[in-house]
This record gives sequence, structure tokens and C-alpha cells, in this order.
Amino acid sequence: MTVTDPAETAAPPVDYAQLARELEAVVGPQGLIARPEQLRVYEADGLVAYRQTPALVTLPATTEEVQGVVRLCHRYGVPYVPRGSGTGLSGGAMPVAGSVVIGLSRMQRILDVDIPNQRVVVQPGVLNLWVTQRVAPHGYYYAPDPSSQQVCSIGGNVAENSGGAHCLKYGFTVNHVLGLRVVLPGGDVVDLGGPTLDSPGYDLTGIFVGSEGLLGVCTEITLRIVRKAEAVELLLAAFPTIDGAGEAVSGIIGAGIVPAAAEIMDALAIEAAEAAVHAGYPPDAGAILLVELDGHPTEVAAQYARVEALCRRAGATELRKARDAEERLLMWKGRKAAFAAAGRISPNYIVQDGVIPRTLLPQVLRDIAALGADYGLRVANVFHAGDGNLHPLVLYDDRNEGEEHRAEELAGEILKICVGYGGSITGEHGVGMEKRGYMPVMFSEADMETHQMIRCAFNPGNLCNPGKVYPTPRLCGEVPGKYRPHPLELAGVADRF
Amino acid sequence: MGVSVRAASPEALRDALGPLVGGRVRAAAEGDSVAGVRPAAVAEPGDEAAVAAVLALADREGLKVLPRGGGTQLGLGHPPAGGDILLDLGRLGAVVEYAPGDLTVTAQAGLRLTDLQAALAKEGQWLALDPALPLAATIGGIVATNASGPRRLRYGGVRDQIIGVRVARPDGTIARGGGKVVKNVAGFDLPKLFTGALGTLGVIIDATFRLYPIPAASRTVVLTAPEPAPLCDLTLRIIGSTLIASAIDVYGDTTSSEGPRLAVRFEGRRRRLRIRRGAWSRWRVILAQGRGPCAAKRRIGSSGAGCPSIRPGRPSPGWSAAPRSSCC
Ligand SMILES: Cc1cc2nc3c(=O)[nH]c(=O)nc-3n(C[C@H](O)[C@H](O)[C@H](O)COP(=O)(O)OP(=O)(O)OC[C@H]3O[C@@H](n4cnc5c(N)ncnc54)[C@H](O)[C@@H]3O)c2cc1C
Repeated sequence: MTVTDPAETAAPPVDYAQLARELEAVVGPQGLIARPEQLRVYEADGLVAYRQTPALVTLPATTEEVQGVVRLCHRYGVPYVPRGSGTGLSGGAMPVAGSVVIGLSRMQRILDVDIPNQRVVVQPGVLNLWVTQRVAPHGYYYAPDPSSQQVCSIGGNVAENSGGAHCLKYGFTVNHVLGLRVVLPGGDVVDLGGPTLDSPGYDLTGIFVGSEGLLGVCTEITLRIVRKAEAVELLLAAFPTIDGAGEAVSGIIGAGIVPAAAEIMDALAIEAAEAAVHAGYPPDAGAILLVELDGHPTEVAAQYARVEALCRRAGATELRKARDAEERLLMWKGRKAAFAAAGRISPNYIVQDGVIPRTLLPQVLRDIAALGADYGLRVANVFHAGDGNLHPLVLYDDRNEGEEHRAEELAGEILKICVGYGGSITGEHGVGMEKRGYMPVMFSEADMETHQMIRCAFNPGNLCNPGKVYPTPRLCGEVPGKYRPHPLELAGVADRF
Repeated sequence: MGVSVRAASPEALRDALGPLVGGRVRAAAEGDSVAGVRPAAVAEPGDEAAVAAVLALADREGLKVLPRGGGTQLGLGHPPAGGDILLDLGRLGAVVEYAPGDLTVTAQAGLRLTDLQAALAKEGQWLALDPALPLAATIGGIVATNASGPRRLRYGGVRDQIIGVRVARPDGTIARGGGKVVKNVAGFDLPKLFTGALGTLGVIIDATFRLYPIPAASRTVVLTAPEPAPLCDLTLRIIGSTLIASAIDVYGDTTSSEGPRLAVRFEGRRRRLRIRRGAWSRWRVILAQGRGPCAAKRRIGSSGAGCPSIRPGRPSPGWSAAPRSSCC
């Protein structure tokens, strides 16, 4: 299989001025950005360490306009990069050199709300939280809840297959997308999936979700909505060690209880969170576990008693139940602030995103601690415990000679540990630009070549978001970049989670 | 290879296949035909390497391969445009890796669902799929046909449970997608692409799934009505309510002796089901909102606990695939 990389083929120089005129004819003057200072707004996504100014930015308002832009890009042989809200953490929406960004932020309409059939049709620029806000009066919500939900777009969620704290019980974006309208590379418009659960033929919806913008631009999405649970309870349990917290989660899941969420923080993460938001976490705990249960009130009460007993058996030294919604919010606050809070205990840090089989948590954390000691660096850990998604925070000080480099190396080594235990290099942040060098740790050449066949079937010219997810030989072995706060985090609009 | 084995003869083809599959090759019998297409040879590879070798041979020689699991759904899709080798995956029947604590399992394509469920039941777990013919259906076939049953309502279908897949491409290359952890967004979602692909993209070697605990108890209630419409109406009401049903089926018709029926299954801890039964008042509200005919033709059930239209019933045939659960 030959894979064409536009950067490698010596294409004739592009007349961008002419392209801009033709694009403007498609999207109108408000839909085109060509001034250098305005283009810089689009030079990075949430992975702000990586930057590249695009050649042009288009903001189409309809599927037809997206189609027009895509067709022009193909006629000119220019790469293009779909973009939602730009909150992605792996550089998926970062422009490539000479590219046209296709920003979907003007396609923000909720097109249809069908409560009896529990589905909603939206445009890609609709923000995640708007869907819930729209259906909440009917007793429904949209289940996938990334902590960026106030600002991230449904189109971006689809491309990243985003999850949230509650995906343990309710599933990821892919479990909630029924159908898609997609402008394929080349410009054809197709409908994948449909309004019902199963459409005959290949599950192209399934393959498009999580494809990180490599297979086309989606312009319409049919989502499922979920009935709001009648009752919610949140339990905080403190343990002397992380092993105890891990054991409690295993006990809960082993008892056949599927919590809505189960989150663990280690001592260092607790210290950081306390310093930042004063959530009132037990200060000398070795680890805390947050368990949220939801469902029928009597059932939740029964499960709650069971969970409490299991935590006690696993050695919990303190158990706290949130009395009301307000206290629940406070208890969650420390957890939700954990990433940004790392800044309280370290000048710099890298947020990593790896997955392990849940039961191996104590072992993996010991390995990570040992590795950290070898590197002379501290690692704090927050953990979506129910599904094994680990977010180690590698702490360092870039004023110390060579420390940043060591931290980046350590962050990469941690991913290798995850894969070594049968896990994954990313549970929710995606591969994007950041982790493409680590794909060979997880997948063989044959695996990746096979994945490329899918890419090539949809996107043979490789003009649609090139250079992302799969490594090119030149770029193998890249290490992930350090954490820099996203402007949204600085503005207090969203927390990483 | 000088002479094409296909051009030579069926015997030559079987001779070429023999060494690749440890001699497990034979002429096709009548029962091996797929939608009227009778292949020249049936090969039964015992491992992944043998599957790959057969496919590589077929690729070189331009031969058509028909993968087969339990053979229960071979009529799905278009009839094959010819077929030289029937690839019977029945010997790929192992549980590759079972991690009860992580609620995940990797099973080979030829493993029968019933055998997998038996292995999982020892740990109180199950693969939450209840397709038709579980005694014959194999894991590979279930994935390839996207087969599910009534309880998809609660647990989702194959695409919602599969987290990893190993496949042999038509050229014999082995490739993997997904993984064995439930949360994973690295690379394209190959498992979903192979779900429902009817074997047209390659041969599934094994698949990894997330598992669920077997519910401690299961109760089914059945309602009748003179015509299906009110039952369908009621279905929407149940789905829109806060009752969490595992499965809802409308079946039977006006010509059958019992008329159209609606079966609703609840699963969970015993205690919880009692609560659900205690919630008949809510049922009554839902029923009262239903259109006339349903309400009019309620059957008085002896165990209906004051709720006349609800009686314990024997639901549709596909319903019975519940592992170790009881129907009242
Ligand atoms: C503070 C913070 C907290 C976060 N918390 C979470 C979390 O809890 N869980 C989680 O999963 N993620 C989280 N994220 C990551 C991010 O919010 C998600 O990945 C989100 O889905 C990205 O949406 P977006 O609209 O910003 O997409 P962008 O960043 O604009 O784009 C992301 C990718 O999608 C592609 N894309 C965008 N729109 C389309 C389209 N219409 N068609 C095709 N491709 C498209 C882009 O090319 C890119 O590859 C967090 C990020 C931040 C900054």
C-alpha cells in the first residue's frame, strides 16, 4: 500500500490568493479568514505546545459550503483540517503547513428534537452541553460528558470518541451516535448510519467516530439521548494506600454493581487539589475514591450500603456521603480541578492519558513510582478507576537543566508500561500529533498498514488532516509535549479531567 | 507455483491445502453449499497461522474463500459470487484470555456462544448478547453478522460490547484493531468495521469483549391486546418512563391463538425486582395513558397483584437465551 504524504510529493506552488478568492465565493466574506493576525488564533488546539499557522481559515455555514471548500482544496491540492472548538488535547485540530482550516463553529443549530424516539439531530458546531440543556425539560440528557462539555463541540466529540466521568456506565460518544452526514474527502456528501439502531451494511458510523478528522468532515449528527436517573448518590472513601482504593473498586465491580462513576486520586493529587480548591478531602489519606451511583432511589440506596461495606472491607478509614447536590458538586470539584491543580505543587507538568486493565492498578502505580524515582521526578495520579483510564501527571521544573526532557521521556515510558500490561496509549485524548510516535508501541506494522487501508478508502489523497494519528518514518519516537494550561482553563471555563 | 491449482482440479486444490491445515481438508458435501454455491474444498485450520496460510494461497491463486462459523446465518447478504474454499473455523474454539476481574474476555472465532457463556458463568459473568441459536452460533459469526437479541435494549449490540479484534486479511496478513481494555481510542476502530461485515473484509480470528455480571434475577411480564398498535404505543411509554427494562418484544399477531403480545423483561438484584413489582402503581399509570383497546382487553391474571392486565407469561422463543436466569 502506498501512502501519499502531500508534504513529501513535490507539488507545484499553490496560488493561495486565487484560492482565497474562490473560497470566498463559497463561504462569503464572513466565512473566510486570511489576515495573518487572525489566522494565529487557529495555530494550536488544546495541545498548545504545538503550533502551526494555517494558510487560510474557512467558516462554512452549511453542508454545501463545507462541500464547496473541500472540493476547492482538492482542486488546488491543498491539505485541510477540520476543527470544532479547538479543545482537543493531542493536536488533532492543529493546522498543518499550508493548510486550510475548516472551522465548524458557525454550524451551531439543533435541527431536530424527537423525544418519543429519544434522539436529537445537531450540526457539528453545537456545544456538548447545549444538547443536555435542550432536552433537560423533558427529563433527558446527553450522556457523554467530557469535562470540557461547556465548550467542546459535538463534531469534535465525534472525531475523538470523547468520554467523560460517567462513561463507565453509559458508554462513550460512539455508543450514542446513530447517524452522520459526512462530506467525504473529494467532496461527496454521504449519510452514514441512520435514525435507528442498526443500519444494514458496514458500520461506517462506528469507523468514523474516533477517526480524529482523517476520514472527512461531519456536518450533521444524530444522537441518542438518555432518561435522567431518578436518584444520585456520591460517596467519598479515604484509604491509607492506593491498593486499598483499587481493591474497593474491584470489590464493587465484582459485586455486580456498575457505578455511574468511580474515580481515584493518590496522595500527591489530593495534596494538589486541596491546595487549589479546598474541597475538604482528608489530608493524610494515601488515596481517595469517589463513587457515584444513580438509578431508581431504592436501588441506589441498596447499592450505596453495599458499596460502603465493600470500602470498609478494603480498609477505608473514612466514609463520607454527599448530603445534597451542592455537596456533591464540592466533592467533585477537587477531582475536576486535579489537572490544573498540579500547578500548585510543581512549576511544570505533563498530563498523560493511558489505559490499563483495571485490576493491575496497584502494580502499575508501583512501576510508575519506581520509574519516577529512576528519573528523579514525582508523578501524581488521577484515575478513572472503573475503566482503567490513568492520568499520570509528571511533575518537573523546566528551570533545572535537562529536566523537561527527562519528564517528556518519563511520560513516554509510562505509556510503554501501560501497553506492556495490555493497555492503551490513550483512553480519551486521542493520538493526534502528540502520540503518533507511540502507535508502533501498541500496533505492529501490519496492524497500522491495515488501518491505513481504511484511511486510503475514505481519504486516498491524504489531504484531509494529514500527518495525524499514524506515524511517518521521519517522526517515529517523538515524545509528548509538556502541559501548558489551555486558555479555557486559565479563564476558568473548563477543567481538565 | 507453476500451474494454477484451481485450473488443475479440485483434487489438486485439496492437495495444496492439506499441508497448510494439517491434513484437515476434504471435499465439500451437500451441506457445505452456501446459497447454492458448492465449494471445491473444505479446509479446517486449527490455528491462526493456518488461516493465514490458506488465505495467502487463495490470494496468490485468485481463489474465492467462504468463511464459516456455526453456519446458522449463511443466507444473509447476497449469495456469494462463486466459492472455491470453504474455510471452516470450528477448530478455532479456544478462550484465549479471560480476566474476570477486568470483565473482559478474548475468544476465538469458532467458539460457540453457549460454550463461552458456560465458561463465563463459572465467574457469574456473561457476554451480554442473546442472539438466536446460541447452541450453534459462534463468536466469529455473531460478530460478522452483528447478531443480537432482545436484551440489546439494555446492553447494546455487538458494536457496544466488542473492544478488540484480530483478523486475517484476504492476503493472509494478520492485523489487530482495538485492544483488551474497555476504554481505548488509539487508531481506527477496526472491531466496529468488522462487526456486521459478513466476512467480506477478512476472516475474524478472535475478538475481545467487555462482560457483565449475570443478573441475580429476571422477571418477564406479558401483556396481550387484540391488535399490535396499542402494544407498540405502550412500548414507547415504557421506554420513556423511568422503568429500566432489559428487553421489550412485541410478537405474535392477530392470527395467533393468543393474539399480539408484549413481553417486558426486568433484571437485577432480587430485591430490586421486588421494588419493580412494587411499582405496579406506576405501571397502572402508564397503562391508563394507553389507548383504549389495550386497556379494554386486559386479561385478569391470578398473580397480577391487583393489576389486571399483567400476567406472568412465556415470551417469544428468542427470549430464552438468558444464562442462569429465571422466568417467572
Ligand atoms: C480543559 C479540558 C478538559 C477536557 N476534558 C476531556 C474529558 O473529560 N474527556 C475527553 O474525552 N476529552 C476531554 N478534553 C479533550 C477535548 O475537549 C475533546 O477531545 C473534545 O471532543 C474536542 O472537541 P472540539 O470541538 O474542541 O474539537 P477540536 O479540538 O476542534 O478537534 C478535535 C479533533 O476533531 C476533528 N474534528 C472537529 N470537528 C470535526 C468535524 N465536524 N468533522 C470531522 N472532524 C472534526 C479535528 O480535526 C480534530 O482532529 C478536554 C480538553 C480540555 C481543554
